[in-house]
Amino acid sequence: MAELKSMPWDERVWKALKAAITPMPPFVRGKALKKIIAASEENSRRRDSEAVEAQDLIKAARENVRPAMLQVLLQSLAEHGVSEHL
Amino acid sequence: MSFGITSECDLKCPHCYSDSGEKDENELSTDEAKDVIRQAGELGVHLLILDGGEPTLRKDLPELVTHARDCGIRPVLGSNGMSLSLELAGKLKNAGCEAVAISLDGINVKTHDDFRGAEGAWAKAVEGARNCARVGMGFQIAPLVHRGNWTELPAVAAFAKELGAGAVELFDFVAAGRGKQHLEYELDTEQRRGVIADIIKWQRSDDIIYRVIGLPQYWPAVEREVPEDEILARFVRSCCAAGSRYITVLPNGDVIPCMVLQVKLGNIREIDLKTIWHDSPELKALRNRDLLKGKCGRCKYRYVCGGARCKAYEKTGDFLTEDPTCWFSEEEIAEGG
Repeated sequence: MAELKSMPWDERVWKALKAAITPMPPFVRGKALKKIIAASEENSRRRDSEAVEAQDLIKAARENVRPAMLQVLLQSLAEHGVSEHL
Repeated sequence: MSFGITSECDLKCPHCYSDSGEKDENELSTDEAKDVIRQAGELGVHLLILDGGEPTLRKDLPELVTHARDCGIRPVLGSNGMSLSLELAGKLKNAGCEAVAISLDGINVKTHDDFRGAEGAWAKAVEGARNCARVGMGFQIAPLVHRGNWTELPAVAAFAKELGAGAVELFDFVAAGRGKQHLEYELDTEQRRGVIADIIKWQRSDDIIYRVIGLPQYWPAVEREVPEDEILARFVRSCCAAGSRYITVLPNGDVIPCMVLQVKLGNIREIDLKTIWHDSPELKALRNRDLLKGKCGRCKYRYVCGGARCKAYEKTGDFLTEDPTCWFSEEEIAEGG
């Protein structure tokens, strides 16, 4: 299967995303996951960061996840240590 | 969120977490039930599982389904399928019901009928599933996994696909409610490991979704055995969500973290759902996996598994203690995460 990531991710952030996304059915998460990963990496590159960090993921989620699912996703990320306040 | 809308049931299953049978005299009225649903919508609940007891025995079920839909929530049903006539399936579909989870425990008719205590139960459940398909309503098959049926699960999974189910949701027997009196049905470690191995094998090739409830060790096994990209493409993590992604309201208004973690958090007639969700000390504790004790507290899978809080609670009265059924060794819980 094609590699999803094209650059390094902070391990904690990657694990949090996996934990947040895997309760969703595959047919819901598929396109959303690729979009979030791509957007997170774009956000990271814009900051000249060497790895995707929490702020990149949160920003990507806010810009790409529809409102109905966004709060669920953000809450789940927070439970795994990734939030805007960290 | 699960909302048990009635404790009335036309079966008397030995595992019944809610000890259902007779209607509770304190059952929430239609208006009260609709207010619970409204509160759920305001809280941000996006999926509402209407169950019981047997929810199809409640006359206002279509009204409650429509109300959930109007509150912006996706309503689904958990049913024994016995009363899911074509007419009722059509009514529920038109009311806005998106899917039904139908209990079906065996490919052998006797396996299901004997466990559920009613001759003809299997045939009615299967007909209920077919009626859902006939009206274009999604459904999943939900076997209760116990000592008497676990060897039939491969055939049940194959049958579910044949029927056109969108998912198979397997419930490990948890000794809660009436189940406390029937420990003879509980799986042993090797049987649980065998069930998990089977589910992993199926999910790697099947497009149907497999969910596992009451057996959170499924996920560490997935992470240990399946490549990451395959996990992200195919596998669904469903447990333990008690208090973090899931809550249950009972027919009398009592609120508990999960249908099988029966710690009373309050009653909806006295405290609103939002307050319970945000302020309950029990829920706050459940959300903090660093508070887990014993082996679960040491385990690096605690954030994605966390052990079955229900089993810890039923054994010790403390929902933060270690899952007594977990078989992972100290080496395995130290190297994962």
